[in-house]
Formats: sequence, C-alpha cells, structure tokens
Amino acid sequence: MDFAFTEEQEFFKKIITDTVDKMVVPKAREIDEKDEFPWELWKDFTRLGYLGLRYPEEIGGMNADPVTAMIFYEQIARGSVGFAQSVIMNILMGTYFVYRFGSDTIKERCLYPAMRGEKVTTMCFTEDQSGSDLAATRTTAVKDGSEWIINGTKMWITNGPVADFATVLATTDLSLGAKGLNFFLVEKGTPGFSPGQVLDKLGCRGTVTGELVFDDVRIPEENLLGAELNKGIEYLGEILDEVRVMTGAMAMGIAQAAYNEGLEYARKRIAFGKPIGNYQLIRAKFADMATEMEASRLLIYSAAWKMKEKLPSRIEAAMAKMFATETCCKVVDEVTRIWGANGFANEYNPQRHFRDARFLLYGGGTHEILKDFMGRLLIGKA
Amino acid sequence: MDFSLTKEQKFFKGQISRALQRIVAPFADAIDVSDVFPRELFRELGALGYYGIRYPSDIGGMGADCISFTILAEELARASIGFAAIVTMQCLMGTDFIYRFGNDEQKKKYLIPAIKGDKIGTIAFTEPDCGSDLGGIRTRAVKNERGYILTGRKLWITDGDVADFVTVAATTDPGKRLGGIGFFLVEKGTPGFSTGQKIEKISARGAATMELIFDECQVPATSLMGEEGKGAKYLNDILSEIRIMIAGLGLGLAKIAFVAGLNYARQREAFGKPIGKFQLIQEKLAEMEVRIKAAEFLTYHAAWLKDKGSLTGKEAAMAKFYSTETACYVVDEVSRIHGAYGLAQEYPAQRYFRDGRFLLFGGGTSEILKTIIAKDTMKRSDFEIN
Repeated sequence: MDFAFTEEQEFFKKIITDTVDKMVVPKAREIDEKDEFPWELWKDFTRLGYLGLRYPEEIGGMNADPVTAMIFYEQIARGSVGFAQSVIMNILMGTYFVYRFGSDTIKERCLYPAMRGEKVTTMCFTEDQSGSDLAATRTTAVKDGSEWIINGTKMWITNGPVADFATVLATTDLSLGAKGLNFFLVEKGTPGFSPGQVLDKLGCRGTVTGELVFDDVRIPEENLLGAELNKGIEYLGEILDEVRVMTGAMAMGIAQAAYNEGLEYARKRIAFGKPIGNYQLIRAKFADMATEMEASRLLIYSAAWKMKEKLPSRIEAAMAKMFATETCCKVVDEVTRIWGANGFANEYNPQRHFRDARFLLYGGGTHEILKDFMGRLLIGKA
Repeated sequence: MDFSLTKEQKFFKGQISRALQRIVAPFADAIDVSDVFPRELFRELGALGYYGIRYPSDIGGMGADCISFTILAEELARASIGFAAIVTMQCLMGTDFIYRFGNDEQKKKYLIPAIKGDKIGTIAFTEPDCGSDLGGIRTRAVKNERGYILTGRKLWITDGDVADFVTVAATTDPGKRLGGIGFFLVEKGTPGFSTGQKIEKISARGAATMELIFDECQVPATSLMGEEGKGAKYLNDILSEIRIMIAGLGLGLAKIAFVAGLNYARQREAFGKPIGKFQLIQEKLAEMEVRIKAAEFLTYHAAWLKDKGSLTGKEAAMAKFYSTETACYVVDEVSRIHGAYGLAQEYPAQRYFRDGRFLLFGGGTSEILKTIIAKDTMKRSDFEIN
C-alpha cells in the first residue's frame, strides 16, 4: 500500500494551493456578498488552463488523473465554494457529454471555448418537482424530422443565468421513466431557450443559480449527446462517481478553511484567563474534527484512486461524498461554536462556511437517497 | 404528578399565540430581510401589556409566573426570533435591574414607559474580548464626586441602536474580577456614550446588535444599580431565568421548523410518493418529535421549579443546553427534508437554520453549560428525580 501522492500530484497541489491563496481567497467574501458571477476573477483564473483539467493534452487539456482532479476540487473550494461551483461545472458536468459525444463542429463551437473560459457552461438535471429522482424528469424531447423539440423548465441550474450552452436532461417518453432519458445540447440564443428566475440562496453565493425555460426549443439532430437513444442514465453513470467524490473533495476544502479559522481563534481567544484552546471541551472538538477530516480524505482519495485504476467505485464514491459532506457540516458547525457569537457575525468567515456547507448536501444525491442506494447495493436483492 | 398547564396558563397561551401569529408572524421575513428594528410592531405588542409580564400589576405588569413567561418566549420564537430577542430583552434583562434597584424616579422615567412599550431598554455585558467569562470585563467605572465615570467598549448589544437606556456592566476594581462588577444605568444622549459599529449577522436579524462606546461617560451616583461589586451576584439572581427563557425560545423555533418540515414531507413527492412515506424521512420526523418533547419537559420543569422556589442552576442549564441544541438539530434536519429548497430564500427553512445559532451563545455556550452541569453532578452521591 502507498498512501502518498506522487511527486507530480504533490507539485500540482502546491501550485494550485498557492494560486488559490493568491487569487481566490482574497475575493471569497466579496463573491459571497455580491452573489454575482465573478467575471473578472473568472477571466484571470481560467487563463491558467485549469478548465481543461480532465481532458487530453491534444485538445488543450491537462490530462489530470482523478486523484489530481480531487486535489484541485478541494483547493478551489477552500478558496471560495461559490467560485468553485462555477469552475467545476465547466471542468466536469457542463462539458463531459459534449466531449464524449459532440461532433467536431460542436466541440469546436462549445467544448474548446469552454476549456479556455470563453464560454460558461451548465448541466440541467433538476426540475421543480424532481431532484434526486431523475426518473420523474418531465422535460420532453420530441423528434420532428431532423430536429428535436425541447419543452420544459429546469430549476437550480448552476451558472444557468449566464451559461452559453447547456447539457439538458429530457425524456423522449414520459412512460419510460429513467429509461427514456437523454442529454441534449442547447445553446444560448436558440429561440425558445431563456433564463427564468434567479434563486436567492443561503450558501454558495456567487454561483448564480436559476431557472431555465425551454419553450418549443428546436435543435438539430446532432445535438443529442449520446451514441444511442434513451441511454442517458447509462452515460451519466460514467461520471456519477466522479461527481460524487468531487462533491466530497469540495466539502473538504470548506472544512479545511473553517478548521483553520477555528484553530486561529482557539489559540488567541482568552476566557477565564487562558486561551480557550487550553480547555478540554475545545480540544475535543479539534480531535474530532481532525479525525473525521482525515477519514474523509482517505475515503475521497481511495475512491479517486479506484477510478484512476478503473476499479468499481460506485459504493466507495457514495461513501466518500456522504461522509466528507457530513464531516464538513459538522466542522463548520463546531467552528462557529468555537467562535461563539462571533461565529455568526458577517464580518468573519465562519458564518460563510456554515452556510456554504449546506449546498453540498444535495448535489450528487441527498444523503437519505445515497444511504438507500448504498444499502440496496450492499444488501442485494432481499 | 401533573404535567398539564393550569387553566390560566392555557388561556394565556391561546391568547398570546393568536396575538403573535396575527401581529408578528406575517412580518417575520420582512424583519429578517430588512434587519431593522420593527418599531410599529414593538409598539403594537407593547399596548397589549406583555412587556410587563414578570412585573407586578401595581406598576402595570401582569404578575405572571415563570411558566407563563416561558410560554411567551416559546410563542415569540414561533413568530420571529429577531422580534423575540427584542421582546425578551425588554421583559427581562433590559429592565430587571431598574425594577429591583432603581429609585422611584428612575422607575417612573424608564421602567413604567418600558413596560408600556414607549421606551426601549437593553443590557450590556459582552465586550470584544469577553463573553461568557464575565470576570474578564474591562469597562471601568471610576468613582468621583459626581458619581461614576464609565470608560470602555461593549459589543453584541441587542437593540443598541434604538435603546433609550442601557444597564451596563462595569468594574470598579478589575483586580477583583467578578467581585468588582457593578451595573450602571445609562441614558441615551448622556455625553460620552455613543453607538459604534453595527454587527451584521446571520441570525436574529431585526434585533440589531451593536457596539456601544463609553468614553469618559459621567453618570450620577444614583445610576449604580444596587451596590458596587455585587453585579455578578445580581446577575446570578436572574441567570437561571434567562436560561429558561432562551430554552423557551429554542422550543418555539424547534416547533415552528418542525411543522414546516412536516408539511414539506407530506407534500413533496419523489419516486412516486410523498417523501414522508420513506423510512429515512420518517426517522427524522420521529427523532425530532421525541427530542422536542424532551426539550419541552426539561424547559417547563425548570420553569415549574422556579415558580416553586426550588430551582437550582443545574436544571436551568440543562434546559437551555438541551432545548437550544434540539432547536439546532431540528432546523438542520428540516433544511435537509427541504432538499435544495432548504437553501432558497423563498422558504422559511433557511431562516430557521440561521436563527438557531443565535440561541447557542447568549446565557452561556453549550460548552460552558456542560461544565456547570458536570460540576454539580460530580458533587452528587445520588441520582433522584426531584
């Protein structure tokens, strides 16, 4: 066994950590307060090429393995999870199906500009009445000659209000449930495609999240992103583990940022004549937080390693997502306690971490659904 | 044993609940979003006499027991935590020292109008570097021929921006720590007394929390409430009541959040049925309800002991600790039941989630309360329900 990062991974970690410290950390508070897409930071940051993190070098990517990708996700979320969500959408979910199934012209028009940060992307699963339950998707795709006609409304769409193109989950047959689902590419400016309301939300501010409306949107045949019809769920399965472990890695980013704040405060805040870090009840918090963060990272990086080695990782990915995200929620909770009332003053960061952590509970499957899913796989057919 | 409320308490609960649901609850979101003192609502509720709930009827109060006060706290929290913070400050900490130690003139000038809702009172303990550790207070009170000169900074002062008078903890002898503390009544407009920064916060918005600055603020000798050096003892006299009141707030928040979660679980469908039909959601509902019930018993048991005159600090600490932790647990679970909608501003779940935090610190953090409980436990040789 070898738990160490490779030399390249260590080097990558150092570079991205420094970059995040310099570029993202100083902007985090402003991003949260404004709750607007941070265009300036986006331009500066995307120039560095990270948006092609997962893609091959021959198309301008970095060809990073899953372990390296997790290092990136963790660090960027440590800087600002609001910004991280937007960036990761371009790196992973927003471009994957275009990369995998897009024609050369589609790649030319959408993928490469997205890798360079010239286009903002998104992925649309969720609807008003369906989230983790994808089979309940009601957005429809109907074939009409050589075109598809898309109708429906998507909700909670990351980057939705600013996206240049979207990968949209829609069904060709409502009666088929999960077996009727497909992904379609819809580009900004296509008639009938428009942004709806923008959501005002508790955490992850700066990632603009909103509704997207598809009203008789006509797209060419080649915009069906899939080799075969009605295999959308199967294709989604190709990145599902990565999406889940990525969410866990982001959780560790937030947890680390919060933990560092807690540490600083516990060392400096005096009560009853000594730093609060000298009291057992406070020390116990650090012992618990550090243990659970260490366990989370082991789950994350071992799941990523399995993905790298092409070993089965479905349960491991769900475990990593759930455990790391729950740990994150616990850490941000404890850190606001360590900070006392200052933990909910907007002037300091703990309240932001406390709010941000919540966002990670839902994407990639709520923990109630993940537990049910894991339990089913573990028990087998009873 | 009898766990039911008396007829009067039940009547009171029905009345206050209706009044608050009608007057305050519809504005809970507006209070939270604007973070501005809701003066009109404050006057409206004041006209109904609730600010005098703890005080005798001869000065315009209601002469109610601690159980009734706890009912008030609970109902306030169901309506709006921000507003609850304002009202409970007015009923208890903001006025109690004047009630106990003020002279007739001070009572006439501050207490009576405060009971009517015409004046706003607050208390100032916390400083930038000391909260639960009261002995660490650095605000100085130096005696001179005209009374006392106060110098120092207070932080996290509820209603600091609008209060007409403040009861300020200051030390006449920092070396004595707790034994040096006294409480001083300071009126708005007194030279040397000003407000500093407002603390922008995620919880209990509407009850603005401010910095107060005392810069060689001269107050008369009569502004000393009680005696020099006895402040910690005086505060201790009402500390348990403060904790029971906050336990009541936790209970109210937990209940209102629980109802929101329950309604969502009944109505939201996933995989073809309401999510409340799934065992993992049912587990949350069951767990929450049991904990809320336990918190309710601890809280009202402590209030009942207080009314009987046999309350110890431990029961109040247990009630505050358990009820506020339950509230934080419930608002967490309710936001999970709501899924991503638990983050959306258009639903109250996110407000409940933020508001829960407010209850953890005032009246002693959970960490400090646990040490208080354990200290008492260590002394005991038996374990009997009293």
